[in-house]
Amino acid sequence: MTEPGSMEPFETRFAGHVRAYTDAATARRIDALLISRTAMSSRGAMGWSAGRLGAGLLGRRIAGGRWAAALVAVVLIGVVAIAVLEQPSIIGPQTTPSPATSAGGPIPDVLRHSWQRPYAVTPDLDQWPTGFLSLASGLLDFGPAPGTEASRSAVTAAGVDTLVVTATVETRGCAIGDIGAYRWSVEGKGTVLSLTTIDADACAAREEALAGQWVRSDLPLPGDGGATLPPGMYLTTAFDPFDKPGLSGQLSYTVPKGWKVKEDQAATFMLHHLPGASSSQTSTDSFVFLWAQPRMAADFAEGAICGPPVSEAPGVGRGVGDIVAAIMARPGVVSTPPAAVTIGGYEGQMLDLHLAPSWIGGCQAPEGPIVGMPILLLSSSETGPVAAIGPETPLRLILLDLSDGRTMSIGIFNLDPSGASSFEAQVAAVMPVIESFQFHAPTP
Amino acid sequence: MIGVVIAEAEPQSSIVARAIAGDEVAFARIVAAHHDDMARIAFFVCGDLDIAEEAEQSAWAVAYRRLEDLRDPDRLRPWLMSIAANEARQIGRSRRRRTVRELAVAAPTGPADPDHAALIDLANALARLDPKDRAIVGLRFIGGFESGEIGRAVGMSASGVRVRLHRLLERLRKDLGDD
Repeated sequence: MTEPGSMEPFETRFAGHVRAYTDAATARRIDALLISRTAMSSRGAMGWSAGRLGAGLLGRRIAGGRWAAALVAVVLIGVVAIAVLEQPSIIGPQTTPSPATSAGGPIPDVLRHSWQRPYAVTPDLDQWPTGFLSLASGLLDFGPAPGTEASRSAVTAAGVDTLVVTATVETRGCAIGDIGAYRWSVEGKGTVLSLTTIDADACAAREEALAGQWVRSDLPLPGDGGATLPPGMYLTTAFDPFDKPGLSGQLSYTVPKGWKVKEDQAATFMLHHLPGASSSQTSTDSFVFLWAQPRMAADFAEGAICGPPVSEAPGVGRGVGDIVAAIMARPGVVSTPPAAVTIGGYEGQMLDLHLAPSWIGGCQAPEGPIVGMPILLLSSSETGPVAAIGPETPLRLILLDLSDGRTMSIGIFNLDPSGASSFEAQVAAVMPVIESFQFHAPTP
Repeated sequence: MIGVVIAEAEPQSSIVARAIAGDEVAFARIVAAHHDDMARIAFFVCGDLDIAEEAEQSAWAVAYRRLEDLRDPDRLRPWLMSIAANEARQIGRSRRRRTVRELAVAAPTGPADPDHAALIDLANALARLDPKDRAIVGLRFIGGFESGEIGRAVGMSASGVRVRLHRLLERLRKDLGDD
């Protein structure tokens, strides 16, 4: 037999098995402060008294400003909770120690989800470039990304719209026991959560991380081509309308019944409305395409083979005015006059594009010539997707100026077997979805 | 800004002293720092997750009551783990009426997993040991403690622990087929 410093091979293997075997016991999440209070309260049967607790708090005040500050925070939160509940709260000053979780009830089911930031959380702190928040029964985890980086607090409901959080691990500037109170609200069918601090959180880093808007991240992945989305507000997962490397801009959208997400990539996002999903919506397949940083595509050269690459039109700028002017000037394109639009606070131009009936240009496919015209390159890659119009596929195009030289385009297509005859009605039915767009800009 | 508390390094002796003085946050720091070890040793000794949880909770209450008896704060970890081991032994003993024993080994996620089989073998081998023997083995392989420290926890001499550990490991080696 050896001592720990020089184990034999079997002992080394055995130690590994012991650790793996006992991992199951450490999987349980704990609230260290609650355990502490429970352990201390068990001393009541052995002579714990209010006088001793008072001495403890007084001792903290004398010992240093940090404990006095923590005590002030506890008292303030207690006052707030009393105001909300109009009844005594044991979060505030007490005469006997009690477990923290008895201070409030369980958090509402509507909050028990995973949430993510629609944009950078705290501009001045690099460690919070993005954010996630997980609310479960009694526990709140938050951090830049799920996993080992998480900070943890116990959470209870104190009133109909108030959460009280207590740090249970020492992370990111939070000390165990730091308490904060937040007022919460949800909107968009419970998909958007807003947290507002009540007074100041004892842990400033947590306040910076939590306060603000959150969006559900545990919804069924819209882009899987599976079930349609329940009506409500959603947030793009990967699509960044601003297309700024290293930053996280996103877009929220609200859909009625019958929509699903077909694609959610960094520079492209596509919504699909299924025919017959709603009597108030389009009766055919409708597609809404969003492209970040589009460029004007050059027309096919005469006799060109269909397929990529399609090159960028030379001499055309990438601003809204540049692209609109180039489209209007393109032979074979019939366009409505550009109409000014404002989507999500950003101004732009909207135009409906048709291919001129006399136009015979296009490209050569193995099955024969295809009449059509590329309009926009939708990727920085020359082999990326291209938006085009054809004899029976008109396009509503909206170009938005996102400032800072950035442009985003929105395209609406229909797959209507009756051709372009019902285009305007179909597109009009889709416009409320477009008008629901809200941009969550990346913070420089 | 009210109530900003910045975490800072603090000697263990100071944390223990503040916990003894009734500072619940200081004791919570001790809980957070030693929960994993407490949970592991309690589970290792009793072999049941529910009993282990109960034992750990009980151990924290015992630890707080006896914290003033801890003369050397640097011995906090073995002291806490020995309390957890003893609580697990006592609570486990009181539950002997249980006739069906669950092997609390996480189910494998894929096809036949040799590591999973090894853990089941280990659980079975441990189930055949006396709780005190499991505590001795656990304090060595979870706590990493030397024989003298283990002896203080279980009421044996260091040499007695060494002999006992030698026999226990020989038995486990055979039971686990690691010859």
